[in-house]
Amino acid sequence: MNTDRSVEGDIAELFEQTSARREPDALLGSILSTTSRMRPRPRWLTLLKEPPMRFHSAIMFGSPTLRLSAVLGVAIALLVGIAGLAVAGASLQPSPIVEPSVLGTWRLESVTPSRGLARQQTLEDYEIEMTFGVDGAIAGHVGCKMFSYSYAVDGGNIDFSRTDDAPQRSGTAPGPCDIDDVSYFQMVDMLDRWAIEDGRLTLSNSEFDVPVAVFASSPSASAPSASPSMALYAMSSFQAPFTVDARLMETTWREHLDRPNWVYLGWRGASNEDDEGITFLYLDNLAVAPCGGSEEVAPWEPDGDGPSAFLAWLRQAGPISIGPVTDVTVGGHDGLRFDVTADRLEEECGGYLWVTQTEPDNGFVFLDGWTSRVTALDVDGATVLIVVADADPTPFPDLAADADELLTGLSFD
Amino acid sequence: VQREVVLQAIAGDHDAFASLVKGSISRQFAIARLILRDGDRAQDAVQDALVSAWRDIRGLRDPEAWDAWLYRLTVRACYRSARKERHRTRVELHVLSDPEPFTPFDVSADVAERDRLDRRLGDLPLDQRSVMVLHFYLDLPLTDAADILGIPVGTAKSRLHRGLATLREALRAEPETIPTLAKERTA
Repeated sequence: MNTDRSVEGDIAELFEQTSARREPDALLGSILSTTSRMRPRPRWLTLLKEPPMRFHSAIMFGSPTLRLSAVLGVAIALLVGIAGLAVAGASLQPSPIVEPSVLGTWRLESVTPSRGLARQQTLEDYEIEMTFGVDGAIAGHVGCKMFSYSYAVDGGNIDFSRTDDAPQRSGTAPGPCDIDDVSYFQMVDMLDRWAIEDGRLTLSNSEFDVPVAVFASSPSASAPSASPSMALYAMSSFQAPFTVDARLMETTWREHLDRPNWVYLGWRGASNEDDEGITFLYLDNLAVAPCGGSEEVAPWEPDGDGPSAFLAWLRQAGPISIGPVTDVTVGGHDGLRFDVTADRLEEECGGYLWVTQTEPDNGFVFLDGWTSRVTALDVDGATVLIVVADADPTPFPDLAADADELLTGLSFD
Repeated sequence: VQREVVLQAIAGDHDAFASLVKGSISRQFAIARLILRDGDRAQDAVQDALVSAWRDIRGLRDPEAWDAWLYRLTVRACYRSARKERHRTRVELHVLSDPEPFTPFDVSADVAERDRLDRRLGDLPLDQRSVMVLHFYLDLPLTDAADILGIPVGTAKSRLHRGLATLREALRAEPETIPTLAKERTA
């Protein structure tokens, strides 16, 4: 094919030709027959369960508000608890950490170009928010990246200190990921004065004679939380045989294909949301397809039970590398944790290693070039795997914290 | 007119929903088939998407956006199907092409070119192919395609750009040959 010709035109033409085939006649009948026996979900359930969809900048499906309300409900409950603790501990901490008026969520509205700040002229184009918490913590996002600071207020002075090593990509923060976040952090480092003017938070540098950054109260602002960096997800409808009392800042969750013993917690910011994420799996009738084909399945024939047996079996399952093994305790259950790097799968068997349950058809996959962090727990005699898969060449810069956070409150029914 | 029918369907009128499905199923099937490149799986994905549409129709706020919403459900169903498929046995058949260069003005050249492009499209990652289907087949602007896919416009652009670059590179690297079948046809 002459590649100088328009590939786009060729694709469009090919699509048009390929799509000419009609759908099977039985398909329509099958759909209408199935739907005629169903009733649509109640609106409130649909709004809550299904991910919102925007079209032409308008919400056309779902309700972020409703979801947010559910989250806020939990957050407020937490706040009440924290407030109770604060009152109880007041005698130990006689002075408040911060002035209350800076509390809340603020969205960057304008940046005044000043000395050394020329690049920041574009920052207003992105959704930049900072939430000031009562505990002296700030959580915010620059585009799709989350960051955190601590802050202290003394009169009109304010002092910022970064509390993370680097901004973390987020699936929940709105905005693009290609923003020049460094400029923003450089700017914040220069700020040392604050004021509330006309309902706006104005931050400036004491050397400058004009406000540097002006923030408007965010439309999504909520009651200040003691842990503003974390969104609490109500998981009461999570029909898994375990409960997660975790703060999932970066992850979302869903049951996977209605399979009872496999739950997948997806990573919404990932380029491949189907695979990066956290999988919970109960081991039963395990097998492995060393090169991705079920015909080559090796059965689960461990020499014993529990996490150690699983690890020994996995070592022989395929061309993978297993990192140092550490003892862990998660949710009150002992187990092992190790990283599995699959760097020879493409070369040796053309793709992926599929660890599966023969009945039902569950499992997880090790993909070539990826690293997965596996936690194998002994839960009352059953082996439970928690697999965190991450495609990033540097394993787990984003998911590790979330996974640890998730596991902190894990308990099994 | 469609708006009224969508409103009736939202109100729970299954006949109205059936009418909407009849009007859109061909296009949904075409999208699924182009994304998944498999008629059987496309059929399953369309069924999955349209059943979801009925189940969740009360959440649709804007009746005008019925088509876009349906596209989204279909694309999501395709992703689910692709994921399931990858976890099953796959037997991939590669058509070996004849290394002999084709003759200019050969009437089979167009067929061969289309075949080459088709195979290369099949090699693209699903997310890149999905953007292409929405953009080139449905003729949607990338902003709309991004909305449907639930990704930032920049991501849609980069997926499209990467996909096109991969195709160009692959087509450039592959010798211009015609499959044996095509050659025999002209012999």
